[in-house]
Parts: sequence; structure tokens; C-alpha cells
Amino acid sequence: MNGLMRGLRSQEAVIGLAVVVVILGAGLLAPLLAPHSPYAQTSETFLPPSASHWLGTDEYGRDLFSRVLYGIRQDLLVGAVAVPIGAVAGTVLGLVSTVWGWLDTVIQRLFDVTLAFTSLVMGVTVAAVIGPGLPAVLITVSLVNVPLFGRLTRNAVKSLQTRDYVTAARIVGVQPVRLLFRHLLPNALDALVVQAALSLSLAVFIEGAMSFVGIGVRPPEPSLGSLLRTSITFLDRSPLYALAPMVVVTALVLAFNLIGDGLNKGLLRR
Amino acid sequence: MTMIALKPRATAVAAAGVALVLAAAGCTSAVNQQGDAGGTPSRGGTLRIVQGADVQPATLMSQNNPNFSLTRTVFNSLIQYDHKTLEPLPELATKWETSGDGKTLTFTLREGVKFHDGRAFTAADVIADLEIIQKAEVASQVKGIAKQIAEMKADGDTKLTITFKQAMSNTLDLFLMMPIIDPKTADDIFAGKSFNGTGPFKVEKYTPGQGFDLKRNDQYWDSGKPLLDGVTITVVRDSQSMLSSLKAGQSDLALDLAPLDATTIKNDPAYKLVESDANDSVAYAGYNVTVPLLGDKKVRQAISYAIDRERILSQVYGGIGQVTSLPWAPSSPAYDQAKAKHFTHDVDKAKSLLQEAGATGKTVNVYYDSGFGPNNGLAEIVQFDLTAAGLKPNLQPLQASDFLSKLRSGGFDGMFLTAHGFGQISPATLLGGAFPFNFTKNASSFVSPDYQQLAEKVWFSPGKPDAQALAQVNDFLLDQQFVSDLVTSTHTFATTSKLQGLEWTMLDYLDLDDASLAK
Amino acid sequence: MLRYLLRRLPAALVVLLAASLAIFFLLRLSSGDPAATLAGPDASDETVAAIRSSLGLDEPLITQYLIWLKGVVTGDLGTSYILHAPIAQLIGESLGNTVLLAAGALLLAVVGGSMLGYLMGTVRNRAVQNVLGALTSLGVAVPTYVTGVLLILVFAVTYRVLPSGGVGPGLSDFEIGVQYLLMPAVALSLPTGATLARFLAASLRHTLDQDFVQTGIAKGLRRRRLMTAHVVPNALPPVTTVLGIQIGQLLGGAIIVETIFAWPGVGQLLLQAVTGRDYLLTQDLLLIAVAVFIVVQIATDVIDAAIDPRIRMERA
Repeated sequence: MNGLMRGLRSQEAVIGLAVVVVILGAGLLAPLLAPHSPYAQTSETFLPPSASHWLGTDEYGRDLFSRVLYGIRQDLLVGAVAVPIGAVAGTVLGLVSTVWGWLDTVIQRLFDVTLAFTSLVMGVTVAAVIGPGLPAVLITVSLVNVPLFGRLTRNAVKSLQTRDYVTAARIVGVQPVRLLFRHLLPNALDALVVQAALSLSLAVFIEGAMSFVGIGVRPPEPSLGSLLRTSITFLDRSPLYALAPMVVVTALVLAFNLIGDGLNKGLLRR
Repeated sequence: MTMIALKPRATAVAAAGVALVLAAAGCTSAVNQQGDAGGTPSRGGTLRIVQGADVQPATLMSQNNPNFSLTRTVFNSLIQYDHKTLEPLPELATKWETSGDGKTLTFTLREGVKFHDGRAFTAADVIADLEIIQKAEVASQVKGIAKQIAEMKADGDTKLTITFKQAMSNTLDLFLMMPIIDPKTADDIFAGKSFNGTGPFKVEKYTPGQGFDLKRNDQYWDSGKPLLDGVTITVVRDSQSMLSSLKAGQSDLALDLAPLDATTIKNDPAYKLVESDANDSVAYAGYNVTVPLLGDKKVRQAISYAIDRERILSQVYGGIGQVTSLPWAPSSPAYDQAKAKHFTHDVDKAKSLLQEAGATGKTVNVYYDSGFGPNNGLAEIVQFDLTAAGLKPNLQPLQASDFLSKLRSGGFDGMFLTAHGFGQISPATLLGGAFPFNFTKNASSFVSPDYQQLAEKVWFSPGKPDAQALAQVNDFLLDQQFVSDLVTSTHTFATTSKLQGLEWTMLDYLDLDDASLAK
Repeated sequence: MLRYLLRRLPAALVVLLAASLAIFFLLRLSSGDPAATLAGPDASDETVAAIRSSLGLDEPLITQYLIWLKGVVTGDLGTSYILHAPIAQLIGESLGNTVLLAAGALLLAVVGGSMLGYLMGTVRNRAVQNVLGALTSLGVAVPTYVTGVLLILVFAVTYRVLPSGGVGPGLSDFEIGVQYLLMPAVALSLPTGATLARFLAASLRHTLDQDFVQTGIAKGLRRRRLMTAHVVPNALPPVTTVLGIQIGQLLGGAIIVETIFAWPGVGQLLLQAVTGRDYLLTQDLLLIAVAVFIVVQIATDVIDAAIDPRIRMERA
């Protein structure tokens, strides 16, 4: 059994996976599960929790439970689109940089520049350029992930390049590109999978943070971050308004972290 | 999730812990610095004002919300208006007479008025100020009136004769709006370097971005006033922080709290939420009428029926204000209670009008400035209501500068949500000076000879415009709906109950001549 | 040491220059007219045009970039279009608030994090390990915007013992000022403190397993002397590295925390600049953020090298 599989069966990973499946599943099935439209406004504002409104209603009389469910979908989108784009771009750049020395310097500087914009500063920059909104979140999450995956790939490949079997393959005359994709990349994959779990956690965090400070997902589209932001005004009237998105966003971030930890353990025990 | 599901008892212990530590250290709590309320008006003391945006000295000659705290505290106007009758009241002018043909206005100016630098105020200053307001680079909503001036003549220091090209119904609005500044240092005033006026307070210090320190003007013409020793104006860029500063006893007066924040102190006896009776902030939906869909007045009427004004009033403005279909405040001669209620929330009527126009299912872009809190709520409600009526609204939140530049250039390919003022003084000033309604060029790109004729009939009439002309304008506005007025709200002043004698002008400029702080 | 520093500088400058190019030209790609904002809602076209030319917004882009760069280098940051104030002054004021917040948070994080980390690294009790492990995992994972709102909910709304926001009188009235600072600083310190604790614990455990420590124990060294003279110094370098990275990221956290607590610092100013389309202020602040990150990184490396001679030799 390889390290990743062992990692997936660790206690942390199992708990993490369970939480992720439940929450993301609920988001995915939101159109079926939500008792109301997340946009349906009524004049019944700030209703307390009841059988028809599990979490009560918000300032425009909308059903909060439905809005939280639909809010999860933004994270689903960011995780399923932005993280893979950033991961693939980073991995490819990382691989390419190991082939030619001069390109390595250029790409490393590029990564340096990207890293110098820490995640939220990057978010602010992107929002300043293209304007606040979901696209800004997607671009930010992609960009932030590029150097993370790039560095990881590059370092993994570099350390493998000195191994005997690689030297042997090179002597036998295996083409560099083929060597890279058939032999080096698969061996670097373990580290990349762990990073993917951590990146998903980061993606949820960034979406929440950008929407929270007002440069991410815009109303009336619900997102966990924007729900939490709006809820501050109404903390004294309706604490559940804040608590629901808090619990979900924390659970998601924590769960992805746990999966990452579990995977890491499995790999280290090898 | 232990962090989240903290047991109530555990949190109580933690909270008690914080309280106990503070108490044990003999600390004053930052939460409860508020003093006792009540008392008699008294002299002295410094009034501490907090407001959300910095004063913009460059726009001093126009009505601009951030300047409300400065314009009437450091400067004066020639006249003010009575808030109920709109009759002019003396300020720097003690008398005014209009000639029989309504073209000539003669002012008698107050004697013994001095600028802060000690120079005497004369008729020549008024003429120079009027010349400033006529300049292209100086923004003012009453520039149109100033540009109608044919001749200005000073007769000695206190007599002033101004002749206009034609008689107008809103001539006096110019003299209500125009602050009397020292014309010799006008450039310094617009640049924020010095502020030489005749008002009750002198500027002691101005730190751009932070605020003002004002000191009592001991030479003020209204002897014995003001009662306060000084005023500080501090910029606090967030409604919640303004509220906590007020509650912590660090300020006495907060200007224009967000409506939902303002309502939280409504029932607290330690505070007063004063709603200005000027009612000059009207939320509206505008339409670019050159967009095919919105060029049809049936569609615009349908939208006006579709929007639930009552819900906007309660959910966005916290119930402060009233719903309306017309731009006028109740004080305006053009106000008509029945017509103000013309558009009621009627989804069926909206649907059938859209059906007639063949507009059902069409997409419409809805632009708004998302930087200003209430607009977001407005947009969310409008989006929902339009969807319910069968349109496909597409929200387009913009940042202030993008919104303003598009508003100015008529660049919205759809409808837009924002607010206008000027419904509280002469109707002609709204029709000729407020951008959404300006009959020569407006935000909706609505051009109509009929409208121009009606507006000019209201504008170019000596004395007050006749009721019939106003009624015609109202009917025209209701029918054409190039602007759908929604809710007349108002500026609010949130104060501690220690502040007494707070007044404001018909333009909502703070008048602190009689303001005092109870000890 | 100096040689090491000099070797790092060119690369850092290249990164900074590239960042300045990216920030300037990308920002100018976006639309929006600050002149229109300045002129106000009812101004005429000629008024707007006059303001635009007075701001230099009709110069060619490359000229504007060079003027900007020259200004930044000479310390003349220009004037904010929107806030009507010299940018240096605006940044100065808000920077003071952010530094106060960050210093408070860092103090809490370092004191709390070291104590927790030391406990985790040295106490062998399984239950204590589990509890501390879980707590620090939470501390690392729970986003600042969640802890911040939770703090307000508990201490400002439910039990009204602390003010919900604002900076208060600052340090001029320490007693009151510190109550305003408490919640924002705690919220900002949690991820940093927890990360610090975890790294310190791991590093301590690793060091304790090393041969020289075992030898020390075998030789009968007093535990206290062993820890202070041998284990802790050897365990510190990786921890300072992590702390450096965390400090570099404090601005990101500050943006969030300042938003929650309406703390008028650099983060708030940056958000305000972005949403108000204040190009000049935005580009100055972003460049400063990037520069601070780079400087902190280099400083961390230099400090590491100073503490740990092995690194200096390796890299130089």
C-alpha cells in the first residue's frame, strides 16, 4: 500500500474527509436541499429559527439556511476551478524550470514576485485591477497557488534528479521530457497531493476573507464570507446569522487541514 | 469546533474575567464612559463632531454632504429660509426687495460684520463671490441662476443691486446656497489652506483626512453667540465606529450614521436621533432612455409599480422617511400628497404593463455605487422586485468614481439607483440644477421640448411659480418616469442628550449659533 | 554577514522593481475616473476636464510611471485624489495604528506561543499533548474573520465589557486605549501564536532527541541548565524563520482584523483606496506592502544567520 492510501486511512484524514463530503455535498445539492430560494425576499425580517426557517431570516426576509447552503457553492467553485488551474500552472512552470538553467532564474524571480504579494494583498491587488467580485477571487486563488506548486515541483524534481535511477535512465538515453513526465513527476506527486489539500483549505480561507472585506463575492449572491460580514451589523438581533457561516467556514478549513495532516503522516511513515 | 460551541457558562466566565481584571485594576471601562443626561444650556465647552467623510473644501460653493459641518459654522449666507414656509430670513442681508418686473433684487447688508481676519464685510465681497460661482471650474448647483445675472452694482458698503436677464422663481436660492467667503483668499479656501469667513467659528487647524479644530469667533456679528468655545470635526470612516465613539463618550454628535445603526439608538434616552426636517435625500431609480427597452415609458412605469417602496423604507432606511413617487419634500410648494402616493407596489399592474410593452423576460442592467451602504440594500430589493415582475435584472455594482463618471456621461446601458437632493427648496432649482432632472442635460438622457417648456414655465416666472404649472410638471414626471422617485429620507444627527440648541439650515448645514452642552 | 546581505540585495531589488511595474500598469488598465469623483455629482464636464489635467492624468502612462517611481524613491508619495491629503501623511497616521495593532498582536503571539510551544515540546503527558495539539490546530485553522466576529459577539454584544470597534484614544489614555486594542490584537495574534507554538514544539522535540542532549543528560547536567544553555538555543532558528514569515503576512491579517474592528490602519486605508479607485494611494500602499514583506524576509534570513553559524557558512 502506498503512502497516500495509508494517509487517507489515518484518523485525521477520515474525519476531514467526512466533514468535507457532508458540507460540500450539501452545497452541491443545495437546489434540492434548500427549503426556500436563497434570493426570495419577504417583509418578514429577522424571524427566529422555526420549522420553515431553520436558521431564521435575514434583513430582507430571506431564508438564512438556504443562503448558507448556496454560500457553500462559491467555495465549491473556487476549489474545483481556481485551485486546479493554479496547481497545473505551477506544476508545469516548476517542471519547465528544471530543464533550462536560465529559465529557472526567470521563473524563480516570478515566483518571488508572486510570493511577495501575500494571499490577501494579492486579493486586494486583483480586486483593484479587475474590480471586486467572484472573478477576482478565482484569479487570486489561482495566482497564489502557482508559486506554491511551482516551488514544490521544482524542489522535488531537483532532489530526484541526483538519484541513481534517474542517472541510469539518462545514460540509457531516455529523452528528457519523457524522463520528466514518466519518472520524475509521478515521484513528486505525493508532495503535490498534500499541497492540494492545504491549498483547498487556503482557497476557502481566501474566498471568505475577500468576500468578508468586501472585495469578493458580491450581494445578493450569498457566500460564507459575505454572510458573515453582513451579520456583524445584526449581532445583537440575530447571533445565528453570524454563527452559521462561522461554523461552516471553520469546519471546511479545518477539515482540509486535517486531510493534509493525515496524508502527510501516511507519507512520512513510509 | 470547541471554539465555536463554547458553553454559555464558559463564555460568561471569560467575560466576567475581563470585567473583573478591568475592575480590579481600577480601570475606567471604555464601554461606559457616557455621562448623565440633562441640564440647562450653558456657555463654554467644545462640541465634538464625528462624520464619515472628510470635508471637501474644493466643493464649498456647492451642496456636498461632507461639508455640512463646516459651511454654516465658518461661513454665513446672505439669507436663510424658514423651514416650514420657505420664506427668506435675514442673515448677512437684513432687507431685500424685488423690482416689479422681478428682474432686479436689492439687498441691504448687515452693518458691522467682519471677516475672521478683521476686515469689514461689504457689498463688493458679495459681487466678487458671485463672480467666483460663475467660473467654470467652481462646482455649484445654483451656477445656472448666477449665470443669469446681467448686472451687479454696489452702492456704498451695504447696498447691493443685482439685475437678472429674466425674472426667475428661484433667484433667492442662489443667496441661500452661496456661502460668503473672503473673495481675496478664495483660492486658499478651495485648497484647504485657510478659511476666512464671517461665521460663528474660526478655523484653528485643519488636517486633511482627519478633521478640523474650530474656535469661537469673539467678533461674531450676532453678539453673545455662539455659546460654545469650540468645535472639533473628526473624520471616522465607518458608521459603526462613529456609533461606538458616540457611545463611549468620545463625541457628542455623529452625522449621518448608516440608517440601520441610527435606529439602534432610537430608544435609548441617553441619545437623541434628530431627523432633519429638510427631507432632502431622495432615493430614486433612473433610466437611460436611449436604451431601446427603457425608451418605452410603459416599461419605466412598470418598474415603478414593481418596486416595493414600503419595504425599501423599512428594510433599508430603518423607517426613517416616507415613500414617494415625486422628488419634492413636504415643505416644497410643488409637494402634492396624493400624487406623491401615485405609485404603489402593484406586481400585477407591472406585469401587464411589461406584457403590453413586449418587455417581459428582457434583461436590464441595474447600476449603483456599492460604496455607499444603503445603495446595496436598495439594489437587492429592486433586483428581487423586478424579477418578480418578469424582468431579468442584472446587478452592476460600481465604485464611486466609476458610477459618477458614467452618471455624468449618460454611460449606463440600463437603469441606475442613487439619490438626489434639492426637493426641499424652490422647485425650479431642482428642475434646473439637480442633475437627474436638469431639463437641458440629465442623467437619463431624457430630452423633451414639452419638459423644457414646463420647466422653463416654472423657472422663468417672477415670484412663486403658479400651482397649475407645478401640477403640470408633477403629472409629466409621473407619466414619463425618466426618474422613479422611491423614498424621501433625510439626513440624521445622532447626539448625546447633553447637546442642546442644535439647528440646521434648509440645506442641512449645521447651525451651531445656539448650540450648547449641558454640564 | 554584510557579504551575505549584499548578495541578497540585487535579487530583492529586481523583485521589487518587477512588482512596481506590475502594480502600476495593471492598475491603469482598469477604468474609472478619479476626476469625476473629485468634482462631485452635479459638476459640469469642463470642471471635470480641468481637474483631470491638474492631476496630471492626461500625461502618457510611461511618464506617469517614471514620475511615480521618482516620487517613491525621493519620499514624495504625492497627494490622494480622493482623500485630499498628502499620501505620506495618510500612511503615517494609519501606519501608527497598524503598528500598534501588530505590536500588540506580536507580543501576545510570542509570549503565548512560546509558553504553549515550550509546554508541548517538553511535557510528555499524552493527554496534555492532545489538548494542546488540538488547541493549536484550531488556532492555526480558524480564520481571523471568524475569531474576530466571535470575540465581538461574546465580549461586546452578549457581555458588554469591551468596545466593539474603533481605535479609541490610543496610547494617550492607556487605560482606555488598551481596552480598544485587546480584541483586535487577540484576533490577529491567534494564527501567529499557534503556528509559533507548533514549530517551537516540533523543534524542541527534535533537538531533545539529538545526541548531544542525550549526552548532556547522561553526563548529569541539571535540566534547567540543559534547556537554557543547549536545547532552546539550538531549537530557535527554525522558529525565528517561521516568525519572520508570519510577520510578513501580518498585513494580510491586519486588513481583515481592521475591517472587523473598524480599526483605522493601513489595511483599512488600502481597502478604501481600492474601492474608491484612488490609484495613487493604492499603488503606493501595495508597493509598501510588498517591500515590507521582502525586507522582513531578508531580515529574518540575516537574523537566522546570526544565530546559527551553520547557515551562514552554508549559504555564503
